[in-house]
Amino acid sequence: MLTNIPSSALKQRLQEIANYYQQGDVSLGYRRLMDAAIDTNNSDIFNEVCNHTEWLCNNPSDDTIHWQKAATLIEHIAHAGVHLQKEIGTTILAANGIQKKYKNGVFSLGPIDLELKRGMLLGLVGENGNGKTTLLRILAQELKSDSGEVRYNISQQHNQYALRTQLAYIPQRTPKWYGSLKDNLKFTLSSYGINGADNEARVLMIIARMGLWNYRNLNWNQLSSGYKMRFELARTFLRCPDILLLDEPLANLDVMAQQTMLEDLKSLANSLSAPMGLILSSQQLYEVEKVSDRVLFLKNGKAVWQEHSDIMTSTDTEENKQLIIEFDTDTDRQHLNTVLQSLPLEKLQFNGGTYIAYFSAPTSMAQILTVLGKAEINVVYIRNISQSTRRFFVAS
Amino acid sequence: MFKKIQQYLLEHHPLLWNMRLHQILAISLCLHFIHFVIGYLSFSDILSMGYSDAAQMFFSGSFALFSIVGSGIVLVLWLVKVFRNNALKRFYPISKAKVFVQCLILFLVCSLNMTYYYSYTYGFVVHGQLKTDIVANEQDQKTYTAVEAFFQESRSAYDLDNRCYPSPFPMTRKYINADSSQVTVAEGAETIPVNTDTNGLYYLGIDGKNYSVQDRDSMSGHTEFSYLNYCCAEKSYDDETCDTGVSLTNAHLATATTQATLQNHPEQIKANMIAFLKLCDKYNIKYKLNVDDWYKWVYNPPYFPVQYTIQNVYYNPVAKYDNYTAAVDENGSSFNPKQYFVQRNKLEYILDNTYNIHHYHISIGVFCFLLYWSLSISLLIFAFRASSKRTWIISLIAGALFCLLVGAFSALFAYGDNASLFIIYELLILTFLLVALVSKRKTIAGVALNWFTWSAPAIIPLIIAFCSAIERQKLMLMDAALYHKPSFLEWIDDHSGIFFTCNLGLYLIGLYALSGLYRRWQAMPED
Repeated sequence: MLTNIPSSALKQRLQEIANYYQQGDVSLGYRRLMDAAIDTNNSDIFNEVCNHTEWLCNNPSDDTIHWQKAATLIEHIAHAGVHLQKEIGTTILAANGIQKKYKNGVFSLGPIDLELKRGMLLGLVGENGNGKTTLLRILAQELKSDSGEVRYNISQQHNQYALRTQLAYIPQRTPKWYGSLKDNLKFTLSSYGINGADNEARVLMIIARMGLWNYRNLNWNQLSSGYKMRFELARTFLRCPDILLLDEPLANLDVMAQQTMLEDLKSLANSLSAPMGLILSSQQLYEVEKVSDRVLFLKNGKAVWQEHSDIMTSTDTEENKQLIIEFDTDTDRQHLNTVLQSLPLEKLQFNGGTYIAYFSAPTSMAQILTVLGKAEINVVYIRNISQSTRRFFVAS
Repeated sequence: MFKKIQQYLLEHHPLLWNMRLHQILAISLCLHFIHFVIGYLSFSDILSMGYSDAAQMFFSGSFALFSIVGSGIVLVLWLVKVFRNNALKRFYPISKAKVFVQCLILFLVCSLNMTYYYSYTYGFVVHGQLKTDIVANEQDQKTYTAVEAFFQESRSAYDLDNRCYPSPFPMTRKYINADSSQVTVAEGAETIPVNTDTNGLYYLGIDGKNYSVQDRDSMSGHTEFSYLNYCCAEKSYDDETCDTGVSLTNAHLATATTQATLQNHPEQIKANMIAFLKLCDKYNIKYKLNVDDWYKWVYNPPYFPVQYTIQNVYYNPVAKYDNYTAAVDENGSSFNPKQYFVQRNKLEYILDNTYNIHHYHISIGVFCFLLYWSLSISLLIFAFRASSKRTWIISLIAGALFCLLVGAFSALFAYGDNASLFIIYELLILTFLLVALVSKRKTIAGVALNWFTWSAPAIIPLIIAFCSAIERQKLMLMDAALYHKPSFLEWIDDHSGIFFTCNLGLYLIGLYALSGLYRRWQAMPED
């Protein structure tokens, strides 16, 4: 049953969009505007966005008119309203004690416990061969686990096939699409019972939203890997799955596209009308940690948890009190040691590329920056990795 | 227009769009029409049909090859488009009914692509009907039948049992036992049934009375060799040939001929012969025969055959015997085969083909074969579409090996015991279903499901085959006279085409349940 979203939530979102525009973040503002338009589920709004997108493609530098048109759209979206189809924050997936051992016995995954809520983005990180894909496939019901249990709390559960219609898994290598890309998207949508003009409008809407407007008439072989992934994501978002599992979606994207993609995924997962739970695996630790609500680090098939606010597993408690800094400089190690001695430095490691400095508590980032600045150390990169899974990668 | 239909189907009926039903139907119907036109144009005149009848004309030239290859290519190109999308494998919401409809569409398209033969043949037949005259053909058939008795096959044709006289002939040989039970000698049987009193030989006339041998001989009159008492009409209009097992219709026709002969109407006999030779001229039939010589043989038949001299030579009958200057007749004397001949064989084909063109009907046996062939192909495609590529390949290769093993086992251990063999096959098929239902391993369940799908059309025929085998065993253990075959087996024997068509229909209904199993299988996680 549909319920109206409190107008304050919608108003707040639309205000954010207006702010983006006013602050000159036109591209971001327009993407969020399209997200808000998608939430309306209104074909007229979709058509309006598509017309606007077409206009934008022909007039890419006319920001003033762009803003005027966007403002009109915002008004229309506010008027159309948004209907909540699925409640955000409810647990939709709970896995307990998942274990999987391959026949050759070289690798075993788990036991792993995890919980996914609607609207939540869970990052899955780990080195190659540590079980990220295996875990995703088990959660997507593609692969059977040896032990443990995965429970789903989603609408379609009357049989296994119905359940899988609500689980979308996108592998790292997306299968080839044949025929027209747009027809493929339309086929997906009409398979979900959305017919006629509504079908066309929604397909064009998602094409516009995923930044594929100029590519909609190409065929699969004419697309780069990044755009193929976007088309695959477009198809998946049309399905409105409850749970979306993405295996290395950033693998073929450039740095900027990675950030945009992650922000977009976060935004779409947090849709006001149809929020979904999203798990994505990646090697891009910084980017994934930045947008994830939770990160699961897999090492040798075992799980190490991290949350952004309060931390962690009991075995990590002592370590978590440390301040761990990763930085890059051309200063020699001996001089660095001398400079940092004024702080409670526990150890300084060089992994060939960057330095990792461990300080005992209570040490703050500001103190370190002050010391390095006073000593005129030429720092080209610095990052606090105390709460980041990166510390597991760089630790010797 | 076509694009609009395509867009409409895409937006409203994704399954039909995915199966490209509109495209393949349009192409198939066009190809059927083309086949009809080519078939229509292929008929030039009745003489050009040679020894082939209308049903065989499709295969008489190279067109059949083009047609089969062409339909194969159309099918492959269509499948390439169909395989572009698969809602089932992508876990889009697709009901069991829609999976079933996919299979039905595959079957429909395969059937359409396997039946171009019929369009061609109908085109040929329609043109043939327009260009030939069935009324004239009836008259020609009668003209031929009227002289049928004057072509001898061999001296054995004069055997009394081959003759055909007015009622009570023809007679059936019977034995009446001491206990008054009667045993009819089966057609072609040479041995007398057990417990039969050989002294009690009687003939049963068509009037239902029993006649002794003496009765029969006294009623038949002529005993010496002569066309006068040779009455077998091999060729007759609208019926099977009349040979030793003379049918009633032929008997009557032959009787008419015999009557004319017995009444000794030489003018009538000669008129019939002249009419026949005119018929040969009409159809450009080669012959070397004159009415005077031919008429003489009515009372004094020769030892050499006339009609068989050139039976197998269609285009140049004389040339065949160029190297023969003499042959030996039944009396051991030499004769010149080229001295008398009639290209009767060719005439028969012409008359038959004309008749058949006007009375063409689809053979239910051939139709059934085409339907089952279409079903086989569509089930292979369906299994490929509904299961995975890997499972399908394993099913196919392992299935072939399994069939070889079962075949070898059957040959080695079950020779002569067909009933057990059929039960084993039946149990095997049901085992496939059981494994498909209970196996937790996706590959094994998939292979078993594919095997069951492919073998399930044999379930009912195997039950029938088992019952027949049991009945055969019963028959071997009891007196044939006391044996009564169950009526349902009799019905199936007489209506095998209907039985197999119904079996196919029942299988297609059962396929609805199988569609659900494929959906269930698709959602199973891998091991």
